[in-house]
Amino acid sequence: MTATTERIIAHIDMDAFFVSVEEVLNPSLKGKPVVVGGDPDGRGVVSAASYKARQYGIHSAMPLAQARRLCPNAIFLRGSMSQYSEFSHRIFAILGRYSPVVEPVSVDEAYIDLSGCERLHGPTLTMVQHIRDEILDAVGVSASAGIASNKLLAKIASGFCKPAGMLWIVPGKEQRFLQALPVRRIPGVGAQAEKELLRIGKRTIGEVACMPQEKLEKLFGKWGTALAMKSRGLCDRPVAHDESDSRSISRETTLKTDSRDRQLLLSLLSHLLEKATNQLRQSNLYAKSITVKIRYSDFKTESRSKTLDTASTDDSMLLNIADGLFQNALATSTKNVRLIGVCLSNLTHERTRQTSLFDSENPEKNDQLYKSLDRIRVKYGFRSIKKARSFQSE
Amino acid sequence: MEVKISRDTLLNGAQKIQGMVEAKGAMPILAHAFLTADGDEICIQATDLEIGSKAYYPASVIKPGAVTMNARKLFDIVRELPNQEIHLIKEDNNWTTLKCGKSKFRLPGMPTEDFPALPEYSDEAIMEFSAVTLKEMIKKTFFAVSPDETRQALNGLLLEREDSNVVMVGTDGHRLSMISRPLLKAHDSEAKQSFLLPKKAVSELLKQMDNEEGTFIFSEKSSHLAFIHGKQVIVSRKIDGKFPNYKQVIPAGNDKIVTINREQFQHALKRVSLLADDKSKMVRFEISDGVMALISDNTEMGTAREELTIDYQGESMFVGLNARYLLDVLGAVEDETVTLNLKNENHSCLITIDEDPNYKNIVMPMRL
Repeated sequence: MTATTERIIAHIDMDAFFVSVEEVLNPSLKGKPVVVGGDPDGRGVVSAASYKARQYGIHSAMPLAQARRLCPNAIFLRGSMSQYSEFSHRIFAILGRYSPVVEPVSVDEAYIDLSGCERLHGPTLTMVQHIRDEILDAVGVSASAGIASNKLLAKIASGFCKPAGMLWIVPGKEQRFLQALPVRRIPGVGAQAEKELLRIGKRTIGEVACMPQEKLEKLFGKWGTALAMKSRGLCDRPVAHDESDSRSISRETTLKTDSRDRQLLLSLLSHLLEKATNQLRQSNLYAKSITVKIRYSDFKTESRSKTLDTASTDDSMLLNIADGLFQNALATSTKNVRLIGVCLSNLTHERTRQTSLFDSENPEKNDQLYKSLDRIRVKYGFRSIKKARSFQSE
Repeated sequence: MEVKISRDTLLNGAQKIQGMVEAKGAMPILAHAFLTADGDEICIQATDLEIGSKAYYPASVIKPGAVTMNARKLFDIVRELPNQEIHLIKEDNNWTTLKCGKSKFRLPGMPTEDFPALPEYSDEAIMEFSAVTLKEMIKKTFFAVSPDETRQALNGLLLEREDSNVVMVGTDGHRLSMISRPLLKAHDSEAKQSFLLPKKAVSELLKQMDNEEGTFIFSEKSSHLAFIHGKQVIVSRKIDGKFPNYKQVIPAGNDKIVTINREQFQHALKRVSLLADDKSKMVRFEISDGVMALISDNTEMGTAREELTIDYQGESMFVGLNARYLLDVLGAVEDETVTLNLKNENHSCLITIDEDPNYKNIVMPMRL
């Protein structure tokens, strides 16, 4: 994409979103260490921690047991995804009023392309301030915003000014801003890559940007090419607001205790797949690819994918395939399983179906069945009806 | 053992077993060819324990005996040799020396008594085919066999004898090909007999049929089937499983008859299917008086449309079909015209050839 005029991209990120929602619902939680993530005696991980809780060193993705050790007085909440998505919908409705080009990253995070919206909503900073104010006034949660000429810089900026901040990287000043930041600020640079970069003496983004691209490629392969671009603040990915194709639907869960019990794992897989296909059908989409992911007790992660002949939403058919992939992945290790997940991708709005010579079952009848199931779930909740096979996962 | 054999003869023999030997398996000896020399010929055997083959080739035997050697290496070496006489000599410790012109190779072998014997097979013919007919029947049905190894019953060709005719049927559950031909000679039994031939056995059989001469005898003994061609034999384990009732799915009431020039149809469909979805290969057929449009309007890849003159009078209709299924059929026949027998967009399409009423293909439609 060749940008002749400077783009205005904002990365809007809610501050401790799940906790903020809980505080709106129960204002007495304000200012207290709050952790959302489920039973602190169980084996889940922290989904969100209030800024007060973060002072104790608690951060998201940390095992709950560890969070409890760090702050025994913290208030642990199970959290309610349906509440969060309800809030999320309201936030996205606000974003949609400012620009049609909004790319949801997750329930609490989005890119919004505001190029050319100045004449409607005022100068850049005023415009983004309005968005933040409106989210705080109407929904009650605080948002941070990074503004820059591309998605990468916008994301780095929002991370830099959190919480409840706003930062605009003025065009032309990108290099100056990035130069002194630690490498870890680059999205995609995790502990492993940071270690590797520190090993060769590169501490700041500026130092990485000075390295020749070939050298980074030699060190990191394909990812090195991306890193070279990122360290120079370059990114030409458009804000993808088209919801089909590019998106995927994933569900994963950490087991209560590591296990290789085939019945239990299959039941969990079935449960996750039922949830994913339910969402698929609600979005009127069909999946063409399915991926199964396993994480073992030693944190080694395996995944297996398959692309289908025809796009589908049929859990029974997908479960058969998923089970095959799962058994395949399970054979790679003898360790117990810690986490399993499914991902439906390659989503499309239309599908062609190859009809069958011998299967007497009517595919339309199957569609009707799923429609009815989904209607029951809309009225009485997802758990009101599910496959017997998924039952053990409860 | 010591033999002299022409390079072309040995190459031919080594080539025919390449699909059968296992490159890397639990049993190293299955990667080997088993050569025995006796009289004025050598016998080459190979097996993967599911199927096995045995074939004889003329050679001048200086000293009878047997050796084994890696089949792949033997083939690779002989392929590169000049067309001169090859001299094979067995040495101590199961090694074999292969000499040809100024080249000399030494290949390790394994004890010949360890080579698994071919399963016992019967010489008694249940059916007898001319090689030409058998080859034609396989070529016209084999493409429809399911590649899905988990659906065992569909992973093979059905061979069914009824009176003095034999029917061969292949299907993958979405399309079906069936051909019926008179037998050269049938085993005189009244009852209908059905056999399922494993896919691999059929593809190996096809490789053996380089010249279309002579006859093939088909026989059965306990759990094994055999095709015998002179002194050549392919033995295979039978597939268990019930082949679906293929007669039930042959459509009867398809009254929309579309006759098309085969060659034009094949070329047009190949072109239009270039822009069809890679997986489903769906092409839409819009049929009206005298004209059929082939349409591919996959939005991501672009669109294609081509019109063909057809012989058809009747209501306009459309149907979505997998182009690959049709192209398989069009590529297997040489007749001038083919006929699509249709009912509507939800019913199966029967493809027939006017000159050959005993060859039928059924393709299920795709629905949007």
